[in-house]
Amino acid sequence: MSVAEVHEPVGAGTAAPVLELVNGSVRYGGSGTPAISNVSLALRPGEILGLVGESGCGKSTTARAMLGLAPLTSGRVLLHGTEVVTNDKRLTKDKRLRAAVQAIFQNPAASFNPKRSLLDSVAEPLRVHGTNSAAERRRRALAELDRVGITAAMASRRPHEVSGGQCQRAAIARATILRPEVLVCDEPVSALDVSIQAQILELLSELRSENRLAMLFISHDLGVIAALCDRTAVMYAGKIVEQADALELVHAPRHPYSVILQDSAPSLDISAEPVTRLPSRSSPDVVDGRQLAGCGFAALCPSADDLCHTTHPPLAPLSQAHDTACHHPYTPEPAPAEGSSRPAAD
Amino acid sequence: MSPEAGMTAVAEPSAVAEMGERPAVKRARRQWGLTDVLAMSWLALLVFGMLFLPTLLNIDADTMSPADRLTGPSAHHWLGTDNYGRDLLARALAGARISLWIGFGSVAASALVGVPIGMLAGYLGGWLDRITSFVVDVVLAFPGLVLALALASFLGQSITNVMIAIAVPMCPVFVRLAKAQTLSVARREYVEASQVIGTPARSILRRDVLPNITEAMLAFALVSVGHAILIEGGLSFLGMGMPPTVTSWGGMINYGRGFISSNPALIAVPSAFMLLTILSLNLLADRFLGGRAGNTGGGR
Amino acid sequence: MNQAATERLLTVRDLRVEFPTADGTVRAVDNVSLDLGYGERLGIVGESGSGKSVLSRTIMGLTRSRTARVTGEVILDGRSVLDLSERSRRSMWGRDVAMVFQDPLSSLHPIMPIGEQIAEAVRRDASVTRREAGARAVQLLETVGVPLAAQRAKARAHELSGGMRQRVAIAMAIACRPKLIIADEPTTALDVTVQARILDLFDELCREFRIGLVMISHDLGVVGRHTDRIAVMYAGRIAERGPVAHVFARPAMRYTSALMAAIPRHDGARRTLPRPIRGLPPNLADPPAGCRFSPRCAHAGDACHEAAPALVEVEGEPGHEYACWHPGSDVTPPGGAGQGQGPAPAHPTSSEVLR
Repeated sequence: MSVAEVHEPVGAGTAAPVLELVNGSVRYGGSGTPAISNVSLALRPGEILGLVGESGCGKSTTARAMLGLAPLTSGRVLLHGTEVVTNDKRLTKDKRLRAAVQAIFQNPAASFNPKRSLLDSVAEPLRVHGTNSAAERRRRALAELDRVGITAAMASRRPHEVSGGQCQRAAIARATILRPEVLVCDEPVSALDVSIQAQILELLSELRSENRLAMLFISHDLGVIAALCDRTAVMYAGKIVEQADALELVHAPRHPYSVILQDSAPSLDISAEPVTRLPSRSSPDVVDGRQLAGCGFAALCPSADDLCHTTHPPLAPLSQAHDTACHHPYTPEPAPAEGSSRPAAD
Repeated sequence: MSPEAGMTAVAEPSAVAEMGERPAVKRARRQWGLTDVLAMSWLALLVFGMLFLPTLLNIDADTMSPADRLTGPSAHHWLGTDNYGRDLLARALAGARISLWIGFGSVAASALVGVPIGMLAGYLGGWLDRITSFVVDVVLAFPGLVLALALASFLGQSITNVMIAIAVPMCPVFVRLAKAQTLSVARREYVEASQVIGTPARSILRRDVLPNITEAMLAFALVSVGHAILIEGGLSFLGMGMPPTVTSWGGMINYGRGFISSNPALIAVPSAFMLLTILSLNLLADRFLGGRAGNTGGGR
Repeated sequence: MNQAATERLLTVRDLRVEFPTADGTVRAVDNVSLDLGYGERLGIVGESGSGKSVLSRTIMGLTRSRTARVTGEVILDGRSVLDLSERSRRSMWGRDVAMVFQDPLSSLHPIMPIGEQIAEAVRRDASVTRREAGARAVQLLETVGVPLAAQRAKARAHELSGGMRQRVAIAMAIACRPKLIIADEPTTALDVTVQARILDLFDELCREFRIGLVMISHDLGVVGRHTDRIAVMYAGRIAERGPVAHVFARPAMRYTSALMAAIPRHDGARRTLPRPIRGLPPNLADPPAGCRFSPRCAHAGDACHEAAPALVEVEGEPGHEYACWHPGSDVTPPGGAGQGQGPAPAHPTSSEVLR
C-alpha cells in the first residue's frame, strides 16, 4: 500500500525523450479549424506528463496523434528521435511505434471486443507481435492479468460481465503485456467510481516505478493530475497554454485559464473560504476559441486586452521549465511568489 | 441547526436474506413470444412437409389424374387438386423447395459478395469507398424488380439465373448496410485499442468488426430472404422466372389466375404459403434485432 | 433553520425500494429516512449503485410500481407521494418538485427555442396567458444568469454552451416555483470552471426562493460547499449523515473517511496518491451480512460481519449520525474506538484527511 508515493521528478530536459510530438496539428475531415495546432509534447522515461483541459479542447486528439491514430496535417511524432508518424500516413504501420507505445482509454468496457473474453483480448498483442504458441500466449496473458489483480476465473469472462474497474485493469494488462516504453492514458479513471479510481491510479503509479514507463495522462480532473503527474500541460482550444512541474502548476499557475481552473476545482477543505484569484467570465454561446484571431482564451479571460484579441501569444518559458502562452501572465498580488496562495489549512 | 432538523430515523439492522447467484451484469434476454414460436413452427412444418409429406401421403407435384380434376380437400388430396388433377399440397411443397432454395441461395450469394466489400469500404475508406459508393448508388437507382426482370430475361430461364437476377439488385443493399455497420463499429474504442496494438486491418475486420455486425446482418438477411421469395414469385408470375417445368409458387399463382372465380384455391394455396413464409422470416428477423438490444455493456 | 422541525418540506420514512431481477431481489434503497426543511440543501453522496438515484426518483414518484416494490413513506409538503394517483403525481411535478438532470442537452427539446420551452413549463400553471408566459420565460432566464435573456430566448439548445444549457434546464425547473428541486449529478457533465458557477446558482436560488434542494452526487467535493447537510449512502443504506461541516471535519463511519481519502487532492503540498478502498461495492442481490461495508473495511471486526450497525448520533454533534461498529477516521490508526455504540472519536482525527 503506497500511501504517499513521492516520485523523484525527472527534470525537464535531463533525459532524452522516448516519444515526442513536434508541432503537431490535426484537422479532421478537411474542416477549417484544426482540432489541435502546433502542439509539442515530450515524454521522458519514467515520467508522467499530465494533460488537462476542458472537454473538446483537443486532449484526446493529442493522444490519438501521438498514437498515430489521428491524421497529422503537419508536424511529426518521434520515437527515440526517429520519425515514426508524419502527415503522409493516416495510420502508421510502424511496428516500432506499436510495440513501444500503448494506450488505455476512458471507457473500460467499450475498449474490449464484447464478443471475446478478456483473456483473449489481453493475449492479442502477443499474437500480433509474433508469439505463435497459443499456450505461451495464454500463460503470459494470465501472468500479466494476475499482475494487475485479475484472477484466471475472471479473465475468462466477457467485458460486460465484469465491473468497470476490473475491465480497466485488464486494459492495463493488455497495454503492458508487450512491455512498452510509453503508455498513453486517455481519461482512464473518469468513468470509474472514486474508490476504484484510486485503485487504478495506484496501479499505474506502481507500473511507472517498476518499468520506468513514460506516460501521457489525460484528465479533466486536477486532483487526479496532481496526485500522479510529474509535469502538467494545460490545454485550451487546441493549444498548449501552459506547461510546468505539476506541483508548481498547482501552486503557482501563470496562465489565467490555469488559475481559474485551479480556483474552480471542488475542494474537500470547506473550513477555509474559497480562494478566487481571478474572476471567471462566462459566455452564453458556444465559443470556439480556435476561431479567434488572437489568444483562444481571450473571450473569457479577465485579463484580456486588445493585444490578446489580435495576436496569439507564443508558448514561451517564463521561468525555468515553466512555459506559458500569455501576454499578461498572472502574478499573485502580495507576491509571496513561492508556495500556495491557498493557506495550508491544517 | 436543531437536532430535530437532522435526519432522525435509524436504519434498522437487517440481515437481508435474498440470495442471488451471480454478481455479474444481468442481460435482458428477450423471451420467446407467441409469434416467435408460431413463426418457427411454420418454417419447421414447411421443411418437414417438403421432405416427408409427399412420400407419406403418396402424392406428387407433377402426377396428373384426370379423374380428380379441381376437387376440394379430401383424405388423399388434403388441399384439393388443380384442373389437371395435380395435388395442390404437393405442388405447394415443391414450390417451397424452389422458393426457399432461391431465397436463401440468392441472399447468401449477395451477402457473401456484399458484406466483405461493404466492410472494406467502411473500414479503409478512401478510393475504395468512393468507387463502391458510386456503383452502389448506380445499381440502387434501378427499381429492384425491374432490374431483376431485365437480368432474368437476358440470362434466360433457369434456377441459377433467377438466383443471379435476384442477387444482383440485392447486393448493393448489403454493401451499404455492412459499410454503415462497420463505420459504427470501427469508431468503438476496442477497434482503436486493436489498432494501437498493431493488429493488421484484416485481423481487425475478422475479429473485431465481423462478429459485432453479424447479428444485424443476419437479421437483415432473413428479411431479405422473404424479399427474394417475393421477387422470385413476381418473376415466375410474369413468366420470366422458373421454366414452366419447374413448380414454383409464382408459377402456380400465375396458372391459377384463370380459375380465380371458379376455383380460388388454386391461387389461395400458393399465396398463403408465400405469405406465411415471408411473415415468419420477418418475425424472426425482428427477434434477432430485439435480442441485440439486450447486449449492452455494463459500467457507468 | 430553527423552525425546520415544525415545517418540514420533505419527510422520507423507512423507505425501501426493491427490484425483482433474474438474480434475486435487489434492494436498491434499504430503510432510508430523511428530512428536509424549506430552503434547506441536502447532499446525497454515494458511488454508483449506492441507491442515491433510485432514492431521488422514488421521492419524485418516478419509480414504477410495475417494476419495483416500494414500501415506506414519502411525504412532500404534506402529501404522501407514494399514495398519489398517476394524475396527481403528474400535477405535482413542476409545481411542488422539479428535477434537474446530468445532461441538459437530453432534457431539452432539440429544435424548439428555449424561451418557448420555458414558457411551456410556465403555462403548466394554467392561469397564465401565452404572452405572460413568454415574458416570464425571459425573466426566468435572467434569474438563472443568462445574459441578454430576451435575445437568447430565441436560441435553440445546441447553440448554447454547456453551462448555459444547464442554466436553461434550471430555469425550466423553477418555472412553476417548486418547493423542492432534486438535482441528480447536475454538474457531472460540465467542465470544472462551469461547474463552480452552476453550483453558485443553486445556492442563490435556494436562498432567494426558499427552495429545498436535494443534490445527488458521487463527488464529496461538489456537495461540500454547496449543501447544508449531507447523507453518505453505501449499498442502499445511509452510512453517515449530518451537517456538512461536522461530517467533513470528523467523519465517523469508516466508509466516509475512506471515501475522503480516496479522492485525489489538487491542493496538497506534495504529490500524494489517493488511498484506494479495496475490493468492490457489493452485489445488492446478495449483499454481505452485517455492515455492508465490512468486506472492504480495514477496521472490520466480528461484530461488523454479523450485525448491521444502527445510526447513532455523534456526541456533542446533534444531527450528525453514523452507522458503524468501529467509528473513527481512516487516517489515524485505530485506537480509542470501542466496541458497539462506543462514543464517537472525541477529537477531530481527520485533519490529515482534510489537509
